[in-house]
Amino acid sequence: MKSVPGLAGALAICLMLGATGARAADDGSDTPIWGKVKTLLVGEREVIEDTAGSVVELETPVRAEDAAVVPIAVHTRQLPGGVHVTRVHLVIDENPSPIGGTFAFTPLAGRADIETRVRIEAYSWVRALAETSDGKVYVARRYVKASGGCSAPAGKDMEEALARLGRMKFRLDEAPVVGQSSVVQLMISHPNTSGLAMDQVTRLYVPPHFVRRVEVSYAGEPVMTADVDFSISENPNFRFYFVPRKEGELKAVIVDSKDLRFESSIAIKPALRGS
Amino acid sequence: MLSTSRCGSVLTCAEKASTRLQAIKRVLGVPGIVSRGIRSVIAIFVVFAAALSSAGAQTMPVLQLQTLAAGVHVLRAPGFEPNADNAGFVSNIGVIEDEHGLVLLGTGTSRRFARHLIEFVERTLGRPVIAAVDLYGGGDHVLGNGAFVSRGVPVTAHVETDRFIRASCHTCVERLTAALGENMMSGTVPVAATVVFERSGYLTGVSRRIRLLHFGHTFQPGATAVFDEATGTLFAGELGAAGWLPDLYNANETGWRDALTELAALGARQVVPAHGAPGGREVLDEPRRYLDALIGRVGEVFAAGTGLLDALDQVEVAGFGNWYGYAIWHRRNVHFAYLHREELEFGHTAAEH
Repeated sequence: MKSVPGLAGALAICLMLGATGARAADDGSDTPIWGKVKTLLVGEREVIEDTAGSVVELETPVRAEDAAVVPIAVHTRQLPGGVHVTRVHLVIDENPSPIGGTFAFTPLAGRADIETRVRIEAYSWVRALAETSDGKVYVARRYVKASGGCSAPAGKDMEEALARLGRMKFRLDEAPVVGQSSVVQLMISHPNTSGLAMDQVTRLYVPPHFVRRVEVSYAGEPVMTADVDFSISENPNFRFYFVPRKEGELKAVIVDSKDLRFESSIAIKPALRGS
Repeated sequence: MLSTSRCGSVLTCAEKASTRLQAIKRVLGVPGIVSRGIRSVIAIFVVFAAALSSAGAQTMPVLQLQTLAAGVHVLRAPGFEPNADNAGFVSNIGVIEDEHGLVLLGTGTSRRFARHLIEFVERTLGRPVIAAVDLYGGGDHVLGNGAFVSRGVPVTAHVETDRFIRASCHTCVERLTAALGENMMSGTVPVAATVVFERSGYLTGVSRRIRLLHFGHTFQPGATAVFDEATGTLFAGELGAAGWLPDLYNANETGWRDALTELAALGARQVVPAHGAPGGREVLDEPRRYLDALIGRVGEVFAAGTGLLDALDQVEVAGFGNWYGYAIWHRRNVHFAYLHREELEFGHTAAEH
């Protein structure tokens, strides 16, 4: 199984960076955390501020309703000449682990859009960093007011949560059509505990146990892979696209931080265009 | 203890003290003669006196009994928002006269308020307080438990409410201290119930038939209503609502909605909500209408494939815009209702929320 090179190391460094409690600059363009995370993710490559959303656009609430489950959406656009987004990094500056996830898309995804829910520990700049097929890097950012998301107690009885650990469900809102982008939602039942939340009755910290890798394929070909951590909310949820070119099986494989592996799949029989 | 609520900040108090010191020096007419050490002592004394003066000024709200039926009363909370003027008295407290003494439904926001409460009802009704019931776990409703328990008065709560008090009420103390000041909350710590129950039944230790009604996970896992059979008075606690929007933060909205249907079937003559004015059946019907509409609308947007982010903007419930809380937590209600709806996809029943 492949993973993003150095991501584990980067996460470890970021955990240390997060502990420094760096503060956001006024416009968020140059915070201490961001400067370091950016280098870890894309090296010395120039990062283009995409304020117009011409390549990448980030949608978040200004103030979260629940810091433990903050919905975010990353929308991407193709550039002329077939240049497209291949990878999206999600960065939450003030989280204990600022790199929330890295999502890699193949052409079978159709478009590199991703919607998920994240934990936010403190008022923070949230950034979507998009790498394109021509080697360029674009970033969009939003400031989100939320606090305590990573250390919030799990919303469920842990026994109940573990009883359905790793159950998954695909949800397609419209019947897939051959050659057309279809939106699909992958819902995963997993407590995704951060290790930072205290059980309020026992006063003990709940050990970390979170999904760290998600691989989605269609008809045996990869669509989207995600390297994620506890910044993703309890019961991880991902909405993304895929383009069915023939009849096949949409399959998800997840691996968590205890190396537990879970699989789920559904058969897809796309309709012919115009039928 | 320095009061930060009246002075605004400790620094402000010190500035005031310094001004007073200058005035003293002017009166003495000996500037420069008073040594640095003596000035410091005077400054400390003046700061301390200012703090004591501020603390003394923080008074308890005037309580007034509203009689609903023979031997059944309510102490109406003066407002919805806890502040220093109302001492955090934001949820109604029921009072039922029993043959042996008084039963209080709710213990108030702090140890200090609870003492004021006990003193008031015993003086006004001429009988001792013999029991208290916590209808739900909320700082405004249970943080007075200690004043009752220390007098040997049993405090009854559902086992889940008791668990909530033990697990979560420390943060309630912090939040209320920030709102009301340390003076008002001094000596207040979460104190667990002394009598717990798991299923609906009758309150023990009293001669009156007072039913404790629990419907599973509703407003909270342990939320309880109390029904006085003799007068047909229902104390709905957080299950009922009048001008106060249901809050789904710890709730199971479908369980709550169904509980309201069961409570309405009791045919109570009067219904007392935790917040807002006592009334009739509408105290149960209106929150039910809100929950029903919320569940229905969230179900519709979910079925249409709308994501959580967009659902927050799309779900409104008409007729509740002027209720307290709509602007503050309606969107949060949509958020939780959506997540609960999503969990049904894993085969959960409503009761498993």
